[in-house]
Amino acid sequence: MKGLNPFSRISASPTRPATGKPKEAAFDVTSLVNGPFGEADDAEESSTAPLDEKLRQAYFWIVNHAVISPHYDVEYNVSAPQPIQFGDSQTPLFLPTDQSYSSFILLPLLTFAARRKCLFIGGPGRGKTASALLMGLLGGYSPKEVRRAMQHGHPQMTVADLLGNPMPMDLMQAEQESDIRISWRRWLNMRVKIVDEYNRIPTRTQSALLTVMGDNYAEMFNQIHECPPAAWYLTANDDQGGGTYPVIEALKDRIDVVVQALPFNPRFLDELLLRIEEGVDPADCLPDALQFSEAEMDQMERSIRAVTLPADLRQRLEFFASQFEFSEYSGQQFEYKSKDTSRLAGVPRHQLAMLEDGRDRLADLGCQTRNGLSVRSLMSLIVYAKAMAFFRGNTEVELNDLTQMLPFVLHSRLFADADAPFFQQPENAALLSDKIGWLRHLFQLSCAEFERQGRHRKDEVAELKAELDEGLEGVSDKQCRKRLEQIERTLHQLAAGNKLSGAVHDDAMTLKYLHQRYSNYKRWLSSQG
Amino acid sequence: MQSEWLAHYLTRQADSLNQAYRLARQGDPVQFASAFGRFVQHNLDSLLTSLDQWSPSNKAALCETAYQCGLTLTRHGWLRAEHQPVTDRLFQQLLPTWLAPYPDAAPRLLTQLLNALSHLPGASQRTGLLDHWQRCLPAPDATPDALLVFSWMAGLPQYRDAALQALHRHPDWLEILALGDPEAFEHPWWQGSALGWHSAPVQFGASHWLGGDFTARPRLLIAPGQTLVQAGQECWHLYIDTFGQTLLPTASHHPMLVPVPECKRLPTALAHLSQGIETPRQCLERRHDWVVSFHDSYALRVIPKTGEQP
Repeated sequence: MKGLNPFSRISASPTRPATGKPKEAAFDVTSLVNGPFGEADDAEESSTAPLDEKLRQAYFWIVNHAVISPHYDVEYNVSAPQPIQFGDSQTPLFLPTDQSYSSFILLPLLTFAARRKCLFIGGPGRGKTASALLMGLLGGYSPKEVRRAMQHGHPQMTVADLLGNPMPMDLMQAEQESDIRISWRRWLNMRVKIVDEYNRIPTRTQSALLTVMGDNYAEMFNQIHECPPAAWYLTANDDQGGGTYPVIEALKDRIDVVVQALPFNPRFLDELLLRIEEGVDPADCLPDALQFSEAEMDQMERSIRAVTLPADLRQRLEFFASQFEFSEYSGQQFEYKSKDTSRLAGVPRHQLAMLEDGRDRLADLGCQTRNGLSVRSLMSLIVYAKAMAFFRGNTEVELNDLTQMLPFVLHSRLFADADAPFFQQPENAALLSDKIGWLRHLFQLSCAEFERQGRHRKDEVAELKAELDEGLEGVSDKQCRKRLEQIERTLHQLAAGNKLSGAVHDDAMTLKYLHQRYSNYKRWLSSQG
Repeated sequence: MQSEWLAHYLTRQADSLNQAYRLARQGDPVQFASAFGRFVQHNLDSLLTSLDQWSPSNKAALCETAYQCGLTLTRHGWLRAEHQPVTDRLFQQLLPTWLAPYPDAAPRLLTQLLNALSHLPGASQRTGLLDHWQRCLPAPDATPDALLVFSWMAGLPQYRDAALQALHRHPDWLEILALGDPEAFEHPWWQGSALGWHSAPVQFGASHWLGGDFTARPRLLIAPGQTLVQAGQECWHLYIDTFGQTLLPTASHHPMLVPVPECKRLPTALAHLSQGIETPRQCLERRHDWVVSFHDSYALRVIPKTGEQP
């Protein structure tokens, strides 16, 4: 029976009407014959909807029909929201003034669009696996296919369980390894891959998983199986090593975002009741129009990469990232003054902290963390900020896209130092357990400092770097000398006017790099006579 | 149940029909079941009984659409007491007569009519549309025009221009509805030869807190050929005529947008209305009426220009 499924309804009106074009007063007379009773002419408008609109339709379908998620924690505002204070702690509740989203659905969806890797964490029965399943359905698979392809981690899981088995006959008859054919598991070919309870997988099998996740191929008996690009979803009840096996660091680092399943709001028990009484599983009802073909997924990924990150936002991100790796007393040489140096040497943090007497450990954001940011985490952050902008129908990343995506990307990558003076302040104590809140706060503090230093108005290092980025071809010896002098002057100014912080350290390193490039070029020019 | 065919159909398709019902159900399960059960027994059954002469495939197609529409009607509250008479009349009187000659087009026609009805704000406007419909019973190819004309006459003035063009294509409706010369409808306050002029002022809007349209005191703006109303951050295009009024959301950054100047008192032509009227803030004189906003009210008032002849 065609058209009898109300779950298959997709809103005909745009999901984000203000996107791109202003609202028009003009009306369309054909709208009179369309409405809640269905399309009179059976037109399948949604099939021609732009991909960002289709992605938003998928988001709203999941929010409205599939996952009961009343949490709108990814907030957007067009004007300052008025806080409503609750309790003795005067905790503010903000009512967003622009379309806001539930991270538990939004982040997996962006992962799907950008084909990255997402980890769901949270207690049992909070919908982690169900959400991952829905993403599989968006990829064009049937619920049965997705359920069968889902890898369930368990302590006895072998590499063969995960990847496939050699043909028994070949094992007996093969004269060399390459003669052994492998019956690869079907899930390896899927565009949406789900690994349930990945922290229960034995370490050796985790390594095989790492190869598939990181390099997109599987290997057994010297046979290689190339996997298609895919969105990955992993689930874990605990992100702190509470699984059966500790998760290897490299595998953790491959995960782009971590999403926490928030608790169920009992006010929505009626919806659960309805599902039980009526035996309805929304996963069986995803409208065909919301499924993405392989070509659409390719196109969507390309469109996301094409979203631009404006230079001023990039500078804010650079400033933020430069805060955390620097550690003044970890190394003697300038280049080795990093937390990683002391970590590799096994020097305790508190020992280094005792040596510091110059900088304000409360104000310095670098003092709040135990580590710095990896290149992979910065790449993930940029991709998700772009995906967020794409999802909102924009062609350029906005500051709030970065602010909102950053906590989910850095959730398991930037670790708070519980001994830091910042966390000793009573008002900040809760941020030790609320990682999302802390990371968002950290970025906001960084942006405030960025503006306080006036870097959004004048950034001499960025200007010098931009000058070099234009290329050295045609730069005369005289110009080269002039630029070298300017670099040295800037370095002296930096050294004279500031305490040595992460940002200053990175600026100095950048200037040293520029100095090397120009001096090498100058030497080459001289050798040409 | 009177229709034997329907009883058969319901039994045969029980699984999928029940599943559709389960998926659509919302709110109080007992009330929903009762309302929808009544729809099947009284409305669907009545419709299918009247169309018993149709082929089974035509009946099945209409039944499928009507069943789904019934679920939507239930969800939208059209089976509650205040709307029930409209729904009963539609399924028991109008549809059997109107659809009978068009078995192939029936599902599409039903959907179109219900969608058009859903754009009307209340039961009285829907009744108005059904009155016109029952008198004209348009053929399938004239249905889009009929929907335009009758929706406009039932209270959707944004369709006015399109409806007037459609009226020119169907002079027979002018006669049936006793509307007179279609040219006379160029004046927005002309109700047709039977009712004549609409001269009473029309008030609309009011405070959001009282269920009205505006969150702040409305301000009048003009752009070429348009009257706009701004309240707070929101802006609307005002459509109003003798049959009703609509505020359609629009952008407030029209390049030619100009606020209507403030006034201290109403113009002399409206002096007779000054008593009992709130302090006027703006008074926009248009070709066929005045639109007035107020300092101390969230409502807007439109005063038709009277005494003109069509």
